[in-house]
Amino acid sequence: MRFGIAARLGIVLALSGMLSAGVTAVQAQRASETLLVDSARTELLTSTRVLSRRITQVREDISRTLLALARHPAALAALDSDDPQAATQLATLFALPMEANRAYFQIRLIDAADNGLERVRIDRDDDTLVRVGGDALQEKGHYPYVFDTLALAPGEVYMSRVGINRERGSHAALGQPAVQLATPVVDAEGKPRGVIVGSVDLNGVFALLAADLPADFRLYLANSAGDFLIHPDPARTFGFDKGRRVRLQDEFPAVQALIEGRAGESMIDSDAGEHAPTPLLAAFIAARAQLRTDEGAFILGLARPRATVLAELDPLRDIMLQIVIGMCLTGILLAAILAHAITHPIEVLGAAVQNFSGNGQAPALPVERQDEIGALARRFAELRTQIGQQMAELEHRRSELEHLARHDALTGLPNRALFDDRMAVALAAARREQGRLALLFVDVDQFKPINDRLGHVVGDRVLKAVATRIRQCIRESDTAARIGGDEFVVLLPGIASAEDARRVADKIRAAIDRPFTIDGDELAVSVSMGLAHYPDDGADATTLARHADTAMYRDKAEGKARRHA
Amino acid sequence: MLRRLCLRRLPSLVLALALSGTACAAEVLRVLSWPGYADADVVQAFEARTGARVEVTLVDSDETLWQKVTAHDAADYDVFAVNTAELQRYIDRGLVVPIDPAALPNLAAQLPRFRDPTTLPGTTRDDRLFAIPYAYAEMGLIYDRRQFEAPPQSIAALWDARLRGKVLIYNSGSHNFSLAAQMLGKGSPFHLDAADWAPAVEHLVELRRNLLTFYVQPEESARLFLSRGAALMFANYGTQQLQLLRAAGADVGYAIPREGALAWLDCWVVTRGARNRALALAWIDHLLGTGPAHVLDARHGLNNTRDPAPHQAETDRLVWLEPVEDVERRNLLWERILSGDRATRVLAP
Repeated sequence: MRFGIAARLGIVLALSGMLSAGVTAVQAQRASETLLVDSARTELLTSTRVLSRRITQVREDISRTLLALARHPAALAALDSDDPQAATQLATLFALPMEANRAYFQIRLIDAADNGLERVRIDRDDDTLVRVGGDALQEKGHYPYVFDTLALAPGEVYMSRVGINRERGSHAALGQPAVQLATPVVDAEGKPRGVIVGSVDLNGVFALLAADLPADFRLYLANSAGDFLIHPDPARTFGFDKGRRVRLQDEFPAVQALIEGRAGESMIDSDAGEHAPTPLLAAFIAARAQLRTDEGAFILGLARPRATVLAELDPLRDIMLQIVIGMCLTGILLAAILAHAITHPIEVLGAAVQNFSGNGQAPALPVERQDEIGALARRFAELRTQIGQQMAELEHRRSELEHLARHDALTGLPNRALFDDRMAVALAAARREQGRLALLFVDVDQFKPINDRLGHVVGDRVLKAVATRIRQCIRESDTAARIGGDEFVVLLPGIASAEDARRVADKIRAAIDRPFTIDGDELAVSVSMGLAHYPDDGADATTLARHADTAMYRDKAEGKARRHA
Repeated sequence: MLRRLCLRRLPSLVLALALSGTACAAEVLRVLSWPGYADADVVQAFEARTGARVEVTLVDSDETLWQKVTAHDAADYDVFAVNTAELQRYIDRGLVVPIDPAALPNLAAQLPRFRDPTTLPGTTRDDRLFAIPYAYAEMGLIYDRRQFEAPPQSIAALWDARLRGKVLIYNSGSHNFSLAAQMLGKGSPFHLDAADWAPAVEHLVELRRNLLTFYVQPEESARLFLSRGAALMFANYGTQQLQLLRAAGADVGYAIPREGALAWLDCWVVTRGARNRALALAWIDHLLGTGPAHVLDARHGLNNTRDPAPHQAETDRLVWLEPVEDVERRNLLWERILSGDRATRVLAP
């Protein structure tokens, strides 16, 4: 039972500790997941916005470069006169931005006349820049980047649709995703005379921009119809160029609103279709280039596998697991301590109860405690003190009664019952040790007349005085008893001879013969005595008593005779 | 216990037997079709009439069609649709079987130009009929009525210097060399002789110089035509482009040039592996009926072979597409032309 309470309490405490730790851990895990996913989405959206802004910056940089080239006098000179020096100067100028920025595939000056013949052209070819000349220069007037740009005002920039470059002879640009940016070259009259065209490597630009994105980020770019231009799987890009459509809204149905222009941004949890095995978190934004273009809005997006987002929780999960285990162990330990703290005082109280009636050492009670246990202990201690006091009083009364039962109330001497006991004990000892003892009867002479003449009170005082004098004449080991109204008896155990007894008897007689002073009056009292000796006069108490009695009466008779004489 | 189990199972067993019985009874026709050629209502009408069940598999490109038919030597399908140019390689490989016209009563209702196999060279081989014309579209000229006093009569209008920068053509080496061959007055635009290449390239470089630009998709062509004020367009998608432009509010006309409009013709053919050729022929005959024919033009904007096409005269010449002499060369040279190379450079090896 004692162990039962501790064990049960311990189990309950440990279980509740484990339960609360477990529930806390699960809730914390869920809350962290939600927080993490939310922040990952926001992060994706922010990164997408930043990326979009940087794309705009790159485009604006390129636009500024093309505008500067278009305004350079050499551009108009190269168109005007077919001046080889001006063309060479312009070619040098074209090479500068191309050397600085690998995103350029080509920079060209195209004539508005001669079917859009290229006048100056620098191509990127692997790691080198190539100036294309002679009959390798082509007529480009039927390309929108020429005829649409010629329709622009000075300072405006055209952007072509993004597509696969199929223009033969374009070196590194051939077969690559590219976009053309162009601006018109106008003469003094404001008449468009040609265009400066920069051909930009789409993948090169995005590789550069996406370089600082975390490794698990996936980049998507689609045109306004949703056709993929950039996709983690390159095979899915430019499907329209291969006669089939591979579209963003088919992979991410939720971007439909973006394609239709009903929304500008979209955060998506893509966990259906092909993303069911590895759900993605994604953010898409629709970005519209503020210049002359047929392209409309681009849809730019970033995605991350949900799993890699949640992987950030792994260390936290480990820590939480450790905390849970720690809390469980602490709970068990606390439970053990608590169980001990509660059951130990109960054990002490139990021991106190057990030892209460016995004479064993009562254990110290925890009365100094200020709690319920302390109060219980204090009440118990009080109770114990009370009961102890009552027990002591009872004991006292009992010994008093016992004394009264075995002593004479008047003289305080043992009564007959006690005397008989001692007589029996002394006889037994004498028999065993073959020793001697003497029995002496003492009877107060003429006591009745004292009583009748002086009253019972005086009589009693006489008897007490006689008892006192007898007691003064005997040894510690001897016993004097009052066995009748005026009869006393003295037991003298362990005496060496009859003479010793005689001397004690003479001593007693001499003591009593001295006058007693009662209320100022002198009173003479005499006693008659009879001695009996063991083993001379008898072997048992009765025989000895009779012998002593006979001797005493004989003495009384002799004494009467003496007084009359 | 056993007895009860058997009794309880008995009805379902009977049902299963009954079902398998009808399944055995119902013939299955395996049809390989292009979208729009075997719509659900067309199929249901055929099933109701014959009691057969039709399994339709759709294809959306010539290559897919070729892969599916050749996969098990044409054993997976009974009947399929293919254009006359593509058909030739199926005949070469013996994947399709000749057809007895007598089994197709609805042939009598076809327009005269589809009843005479001699004018449809792609449908016969060694005087045997392999294909039944079903749907077609011609590649006419779309012109802006406001910029033309009379409809253009010839493909030479594409070269008309007065239309410089206002002409749209389709980005296709094969078709554009066919146009050049027509300009050269070749009997078949699909067969250029060695001496024809240089003048054809010259023609196409001149055509390029006359262009606004080129297009690939019909929607793109309509957008360019309208937004850039084009005057004339070689309509690779035919009346589909006409409808797009008219829907957008353009005042455009459609003309079949006197040299003849290139036209594709889709035909139904029966495979070598057909399980029930009579059922396959019944399917073809069903599609030649009025119901399916109207589904073609009314629902899908394609010409059927029964009714005169709305933008054609009976006498208009259609030049059914045939395999060209060297498709790779045509494409290579066209790419160079399109890229802006001058004629001498285009013909360089």
